[in-house]
Amino acid sequence: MDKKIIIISFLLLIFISATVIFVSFNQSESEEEHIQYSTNDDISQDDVFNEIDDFLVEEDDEVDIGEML
Amino acid sequence: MKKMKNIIIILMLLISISSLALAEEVENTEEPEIDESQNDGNETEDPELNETDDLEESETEEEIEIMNDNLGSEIRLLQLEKAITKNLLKGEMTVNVLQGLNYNTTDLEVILDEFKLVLEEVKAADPNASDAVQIFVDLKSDARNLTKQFRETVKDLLSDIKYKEIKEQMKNITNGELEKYTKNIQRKIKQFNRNQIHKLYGLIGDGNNSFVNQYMNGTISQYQLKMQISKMVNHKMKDKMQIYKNIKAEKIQCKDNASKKFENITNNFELRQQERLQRRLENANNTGNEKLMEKIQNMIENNKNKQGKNKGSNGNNPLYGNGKGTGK
Repeated sequence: MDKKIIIISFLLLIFISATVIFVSFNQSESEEEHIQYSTNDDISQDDVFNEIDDFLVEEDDEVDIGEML
Repeated sequence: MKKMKNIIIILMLLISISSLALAEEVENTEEPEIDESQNDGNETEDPELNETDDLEESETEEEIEIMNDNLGSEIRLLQLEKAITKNLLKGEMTVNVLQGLNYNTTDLEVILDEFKLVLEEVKAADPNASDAVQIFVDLKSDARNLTKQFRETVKDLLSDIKYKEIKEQMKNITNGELEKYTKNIQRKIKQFNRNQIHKLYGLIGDGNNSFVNQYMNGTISQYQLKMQISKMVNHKMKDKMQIYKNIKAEKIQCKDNASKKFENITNNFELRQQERLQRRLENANNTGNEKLMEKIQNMIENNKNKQGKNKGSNGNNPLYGNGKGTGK
């Protein structure tokens, strides 16, 4: 009986460790991918558009000092 | 056998403790919400107010980014002038409505009198002067505080229902003067954008003036112009990354400059505020406006007391920490 419990506990431990390792490995991989995406030539037209957008002022832009009521 | 059992139990305990620690970490990130509810009745640390102040500060910091340029300064000062004119118009109409309903509007009129002095100061500001950014930040802060004072004074006078009723009446009010401001500002923004596009063309290393001309004469919208330029960059397969980096670097530089300027400006804000109040006191004295003189004198005294109390402590936000009560 004792032997069985020990084996089950060991299996559980191995399973948990494997899951944790798998999750953390996957996470760091996706982070790397993200960095590569932004440093490589894969810049979309939307990225460029957003940068240009920041460069210009909207014609209906206003200075907000709050409402009287 | 017993030893093994013990080791396994210890290992299991370690795992559960580490999961507990992880869970606590997640909980910690949600703590501000809990703090908010614990802060009931504590007037000096209102997280909601601090959040608004921070938001206003970052908004102003963003606004001064374009003030490195004379035209940008001119635009921001004109926008401030328009905002004050609009609020004055709404304020005067509110006073008229309240007088018609036999309310005592003396306090509100005094606030509007000070607002008029601020408007004159904005009109007199020179966008080409080296301290144009500082003047903009100072006067915007004053305008914000006066707006807040007016709003809270009206709220004190009226019931909730009446307040909402009058607020609804004042919605979407406009007049010829405001329309003129709008057109003038739009024209200047277009000129500013034209200059910015030429700057962009410099960074791209290429340019198409027909887009700029079409934008200036209204044939294409600003959105279409931005699309055309981003397509232009997108077609430059080889240099795209470098161009993107150049544009980003220019923007970061601009933000950094604005941030440094803003930090310098906030340093002596309270001192400059006292100087402005002194000037307004003299103006009120010249026009014989006794009620306004009294209000400004009270504000000067309040600020002096506040400065005394704040010495050695962080105090409130110097730019937007001056709401209700400063003039009463």
